[in-house]
This record gives sequence, C-alpha cells and structure tokens, in this order.
Amino acid sequence: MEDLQELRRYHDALPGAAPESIGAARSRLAGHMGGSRRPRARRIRPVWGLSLAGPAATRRRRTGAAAISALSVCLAVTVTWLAVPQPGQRDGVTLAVPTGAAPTEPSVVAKAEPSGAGFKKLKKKYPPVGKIASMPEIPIWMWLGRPSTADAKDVVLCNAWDSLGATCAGFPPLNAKEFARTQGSTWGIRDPKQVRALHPDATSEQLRRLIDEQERVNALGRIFFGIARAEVHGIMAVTTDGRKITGSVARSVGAGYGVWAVKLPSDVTTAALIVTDANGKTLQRIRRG
Amino acid sequence: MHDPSSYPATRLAAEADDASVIANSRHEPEWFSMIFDRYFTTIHRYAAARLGPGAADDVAAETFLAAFDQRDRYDLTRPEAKAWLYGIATNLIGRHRRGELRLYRALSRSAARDDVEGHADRVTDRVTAEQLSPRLARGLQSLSRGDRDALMLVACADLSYAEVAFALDIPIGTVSSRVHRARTKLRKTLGHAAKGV
Repeated sequence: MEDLQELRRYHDALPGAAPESIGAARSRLAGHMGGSRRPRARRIRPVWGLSLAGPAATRRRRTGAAAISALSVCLAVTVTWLAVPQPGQRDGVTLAVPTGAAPTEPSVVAKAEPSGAGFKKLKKKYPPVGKIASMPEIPIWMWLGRPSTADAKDVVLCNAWDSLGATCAGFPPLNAKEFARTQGSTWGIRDPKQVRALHPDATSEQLRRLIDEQERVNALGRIFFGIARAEVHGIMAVTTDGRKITGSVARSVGAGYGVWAVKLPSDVTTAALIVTDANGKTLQRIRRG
Repeated sequence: MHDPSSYPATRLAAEADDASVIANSRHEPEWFSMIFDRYFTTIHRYAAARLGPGAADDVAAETFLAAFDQRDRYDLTRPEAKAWLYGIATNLIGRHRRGELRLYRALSRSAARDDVEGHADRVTDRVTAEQLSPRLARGLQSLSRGDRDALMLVACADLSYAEVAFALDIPIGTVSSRVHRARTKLRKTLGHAAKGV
C-alpha cells in the first residue's frame, strides 16, 4: 500500500488552485456558457457578479486572470543588503543584487554559506557547476548542481536556508516561450493534517516538533524561487491586492541558468510574477507564481 | 466567493445533487456554475499531480468547458458527477502525454528527500519539493497510459474501481487488471516484493 499512500500524499500536498486561476477558469466558463447555441438558452443572468447585458454580451468572451489594481506600493522585502553594489564573485559565492529601489539600511556583509548540515551534504552530493548565489535579503542560497557520479548529465536546482536545511530537485529545460520558471516555494504545508499525511510514522512528539518547525518556516513568509535565462535581470511579484514586491535575480549561476527568488509576507496571495530584462521590459508573466 | 442570490431562484440550489444541477443546466446553462464551484479545485489538484501546476490551470478549465458541452449526454441516474469529470480530465491529460512524461522524468532525476538530514531539513524539503520520490516517478513514467490513468484515479482521485470504470469507459475487470499491473510494476521499481491485490 506504500506506493498508493505515497501517491496520495504527493497529491494531497500539492497546493490548491490559486484564486486567480479559479477566477480565470470561471471567466472562461462564463464566456463559454454565454455562447451556448442551445435554442432555448435565455439571456444569461448575472453570475458571480459578472454583468452580461444584451445579445452582444452573450458573444463576449472574458479572458485573462483577475484584474490587478493599478495601484502599486513597492514593499521592501529585504532586511539586510549586500556590501557590494554589483554582482561579483567572492570565494566562489556570487552575490545577487536585489532589483528595485536602492536600500536605505546600512549594508551587511553576506554570509558566505549556510550553516546547516543539509547544505553541506547536498553540496557534496551535487557540486555546483558554477557559483553559489547568495541572496541574504531573502535569505536563500541557490546553485545548479550535478550529481557527482560519472554518468550524470542533467543539472539540478539546489537551494538552502541558513538553519532550515537544503533541497535539490531536477527540472525540465525551459521551453522556447519560457524566460523563467518557478521551481518551488517554502510554504506548501498549512495545517497539521498535511504534516501528519507526510509523516505517517512520526510519533506524537516528532509530529509536534515538525508542526512547530513548519510554523516557524511559515512565519518567515513565503519564498518562491526558480530558474531563469541569462537575459532575465529582474523579477517582481504582483499580489492580488495590487502590491508589487521586488525579488532578487542572480544571473549566470551555472549551466547557462540564472536563479531568482522573491519573498512574500505570509498574508498575501500572488497574482503573477513579472520577469523583466535589463531595460525593465516584461519578458514573461508567470501566473500564480 | 460568489453571490448566492445570482443563482436561479426556482430551486434550492444548495441541496440539489449533481445530476439535478446538470439536468437544470440543460435548459438554464448558468446552473452549471454550481458544478464548477463544487469540483474545480479537486480537478485542478488532480491535473497538477499529473502534469504539474503550470498545465493544470488550462486542463482544469478545459475540463469544465468540455463537461458543459457534454452535459446533454450526462447519465442523470448518477447523482454524483465526480467520476464523470475525472474521466474528462483524464482524457484531456492524455493529450498532454509528453508533458506528463517530462514531469516524471524531471522528478525522477531529483534528489531523494532522505538526502537531507534532520527533522527541520526534512520539513523544509517537503514543503519545497512537493514531489514524488525519484523511484516512484520513474515507475510512473514506465507505465502504459491506460495503467497510469487507472492507478492515478484510484490513488489520487480516490475513485472506486466502479467509478474508474465509468470514468474511463472500460469494464470494471479491466480496471482491476490495470491497477494490479501498475502496482506490480511500481513495486518492482521500488524494490518491494510483488503482492497480490
């Protein structure tokens, strides 16, 4: 039964559909229903607050995600800033420059590497093919690693936090339309039932510690991270309430990829991630983050 | 999330079973929005499990568009539409077969969760990975489409064999064979001894 249980756990642990996805799908269905060719279909009455009036409205198609307010407030996600103004290499560590407004707090020298045992173990198992990108303003460390076996070909994206461990995961290559992709986030588990589902053999004490640790992780806010092409210079999260939160990009980290991360307060929902080039031009809009 | 007063006032919508709602939608299409509200997130999670979150948005949305188009053919003797919707979603997922296999290939190359030490590390790993073990991902990748469909509907969608038979429009005996074959293959991949169903 273990195979079925693992499949079930994997399925149950997936985050649900984001509000903007639900809204977009509702809009598509509403438009589709409005265009129904049933001979006895009457004028569509308002559904979900959408107002469709007249024959023209029945042929109207609504597309796209929920509207995002034109208001924007750049929130400072970072707490500490790097001592150097430009990305550079220091002892094999690439320092990422946060995109967005200039900092006002005093600069702090970035910690070279995280201190967790998990980081050391994974760095040994998946040595970086380039540099380790440090983003102390998040905080997160990221690198592209390749298994230290002779026949390894594919790279994995590795990320580490100071005392919370590290993970590495493979990923499909970016397709022709993609400039960046979200590869993970740090806030996937929200309630004790899910923690229990993922650790069915844990004792009550172990479960309590896991839940406490999960709450500590959640309190840090939610960090999205991923890979990016070389031409990506900036990333920004747009929330459903119209806020814009600048993320960090480290370019040319390894294997032709850059990496990015953006940290959101725990009480916001992302509508989209906006990926930009060196001139601030939008290259891609990733829905949901 | 929606205004209940926008529903047709002719019926007590909240108590209507899926078959009643679909029957009403044949003459008043806006009733179908109730089916969407009841099942979208469920179908979305299933599509995400098979194709990843990126493709799940489109597949889940298209499931309900297709279901709406097919509502005249829905068997009204079935009070619950869950299996019907999963069948439509599975059919649409089949059109993304390459994408599904790509997902499993990527997952099969990822680091095993037990690479990371310590409870705290394991929690962080879980929350960021949200993925299968590499061996199980490899096992899923090796299954035939039909076997994988049946297995995922049983394991993830939690459908009974009878419901899977209805969803996939195959005999119940075929569901049993496919699930048994899939699990036997997965157990070999995972290194467990094969057991009878």
